[in-house]
Amino acid sequence: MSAPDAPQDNSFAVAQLEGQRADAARLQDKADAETKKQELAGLRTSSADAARNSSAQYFQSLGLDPSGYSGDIDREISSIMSGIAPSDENPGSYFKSAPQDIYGNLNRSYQTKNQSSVDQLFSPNFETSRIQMTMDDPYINDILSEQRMTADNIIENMLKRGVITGTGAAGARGDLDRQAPGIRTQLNTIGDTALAGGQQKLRDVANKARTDAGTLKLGQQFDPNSYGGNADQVFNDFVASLGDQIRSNVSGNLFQTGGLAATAGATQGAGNTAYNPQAAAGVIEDDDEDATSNKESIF
Amino acid sequence: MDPVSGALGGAQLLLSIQNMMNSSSAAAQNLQFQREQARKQERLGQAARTDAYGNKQYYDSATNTWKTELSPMQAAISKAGETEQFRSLTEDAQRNRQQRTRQSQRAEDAVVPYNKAMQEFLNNPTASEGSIRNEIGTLTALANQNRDKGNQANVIRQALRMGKGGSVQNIIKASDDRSGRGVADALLSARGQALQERGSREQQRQSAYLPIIQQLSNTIDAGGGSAATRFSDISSQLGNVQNQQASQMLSAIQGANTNVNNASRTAIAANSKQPDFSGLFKALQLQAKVKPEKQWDDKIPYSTTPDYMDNMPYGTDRYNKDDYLF
Repeated sequence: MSAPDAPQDNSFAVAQLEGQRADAARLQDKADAETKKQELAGLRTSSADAARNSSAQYFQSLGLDPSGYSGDIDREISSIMSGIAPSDENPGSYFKSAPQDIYGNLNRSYQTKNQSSVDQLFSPNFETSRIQMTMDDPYINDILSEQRMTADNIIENMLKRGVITGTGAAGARGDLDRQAPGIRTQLNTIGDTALAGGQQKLRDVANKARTDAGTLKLGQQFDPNSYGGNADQVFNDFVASLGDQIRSNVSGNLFQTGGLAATAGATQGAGNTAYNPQAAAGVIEDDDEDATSNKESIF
Repeated sequence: MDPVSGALGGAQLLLSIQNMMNSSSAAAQNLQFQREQARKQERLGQAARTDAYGNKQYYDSATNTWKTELSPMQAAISKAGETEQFRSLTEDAQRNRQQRTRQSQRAEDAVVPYNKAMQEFLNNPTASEGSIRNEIGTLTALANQNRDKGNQANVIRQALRMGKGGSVQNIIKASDDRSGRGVADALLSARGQALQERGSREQQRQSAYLPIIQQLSNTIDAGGGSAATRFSDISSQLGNVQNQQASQMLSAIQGANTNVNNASRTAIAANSKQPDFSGLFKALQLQAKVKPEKQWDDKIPYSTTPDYMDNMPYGTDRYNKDDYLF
C-alpha cells in the first residue's frame, strides 16, 4: 500500500486570484473616484452658473444693468471657484452670498477708485499751497498806509494851523513810527485769520468730495473735476473778497492820534500858538470862522 | 538501629507530618474565608443604590445591565425635562436660527449707513481754530462797528440839537479812535473764544457721529456667525453614570480577586509543601551516635595507607598477597 499523494499546491493560483481581485477593486475605486470627481466638478460648475444668474438678478434689483458688470461678476466667481477644494461636497455654500459680496467688492473698488481721483486732485495741504499766508500782504500794506496817512494828516494839519512846530511834528511822527509795528501785527493777525477762513473753505470742498466718493454707490456718476471747479470758484471768491474781509475787521483809527498834539508839544517845548481843536480833529480846510468856533469846542 | 532511636525518629517524623497538615488546613480555611469575602465584595459592588429622592440603581445579573428605577416624581421631572429638551432642540433652535438670519440681514443693511457715517466723520473734521477765529473776529468787528456807529450817530444828533454842529468832526474822530482801540481787544477775545468754540464743535461732532458709528458697528458684528447650537446631553450624562458604576464594580471585583488569589497561593503552597523529614533526620543522627560493631580494619591508621597491605590478614582464603603484587 503506497502513501497518499501530497495535496496539490494551489497557492500560486490563489495568490493570482487575490491579486486580480485587488486589481479589480483598485480599478473600481479609481473609477468611482473619477466619477465622483466628475460629479463634484459638475456640481461646482452648476453652482457657479447659479451664482452668476443670481448675481445678475441682484444687480438688476438694484437698478443696475448686469451686462455692464458681467466681466467683473465672472472674475469674482472664478476667484471664488479657485478657492473651493475639488473634493468639497458642497460647493454651493461658497456662492451663497456671492451676489452681495460681488456687489460689495465692486462698490468698494468704485469708491476707492474715485477717492484716489479726489486725492490726486486735492493733494495734501493743497489749501495752504493754494492760499498762501503771504496773500494778504498787499491788503495789509494798503490799510497800514491809509491808516498812517490819516494820522500823518492830523500832524500836517496841526502844523499848517501853527498848533505845532516842525520839531513838534517830527516828534509826533516818531510816535506814529513807534505805533506802526503793533498796528502791522494787528493787521497781520486779522489777515492770517482771514486766510485761515479761506483755507478752511477749500478744505471743506475737498472733504465733501472725499465723503461723496467714499459713499458712492455703483452706477452713480462721479466727476472729481466738478469738485475741482467748485474749489476754483471758492478760491476766486475768496481772493476777490479778501481785501474787504480784512478791512471789515479793521474799524476806526488803529493809530492812536489823541495824544499826538501833546507829544508834539513836549517835543517842541513851550509855544504861544493857541490850541485849535479843528486841527486835532483832522480838519484840513481853514475857514474864517475858526476864531469864533473855538469857543464852542467840546474838548 | 536500636529500637529506642527508631521510635524516637518515627515520632519526630509523625510530628512533622502533623505540623504540615495543620498548616495546610489553616491556608485552606483562609482561602475559604477570602472567597466568602470576595463574594460579599462582589455582592456589595453590585448592590442597588437608592438616593434621597428615592431613585434606585441596581445591577441585573440576568441581563448583565445596570438599571435605574426613578421615583414617580423624579420620573415626571425627567419626562418634563426631556420634553423641554426636545422642544429646545426642535422649536427654540429653529426660532434661534430665524433670529440669527434676521440679525444677519440687519448687519448687511447696516453696512451702507456705517460706511456713510464713517466717511462723514473722517472727512469732516472740525474747522481749524484759525478759521473759527476769523468767523468770530469778523462777527465781533462788525458788531463793534455797528455799536460804535450807533453811538456816534446818537452823539452827533445830540450835538446838533444842542447847536454844536461844529463838533461833529470831533465826534467822528473820537468815535473812530475808540473803534480802533477796540480791534486789539476783539482779536484777543476772538482767540479765546475760538479755542472754546473749536473744543465744543469737536465734542458735538463726536457726539453726533461716534454713538451711531458704534451702534452700527455692533449691529454688523452681531450679524456674523451662526445660531447657537443645541445638543442633547443625555448621552454624556448616561455615559458618566455607567462609567462610574462600571468603575465601582470593577474595583470591587478586582479587590476580591486579589484577596482570593493571595489566599489561593497560600493554600497551594501549603498543600504542595514536601513532608518535613527533619525529625527523622534528627532521629537518624541520634541513632548514629550509638557505637557500631568494630570492623576488621578499625586499627589500621589511615595515615599509613602504603603499609595497608602489610597489615592485611594473610593466609586467609579470601586473600592471597602474591596475587596482588605486581
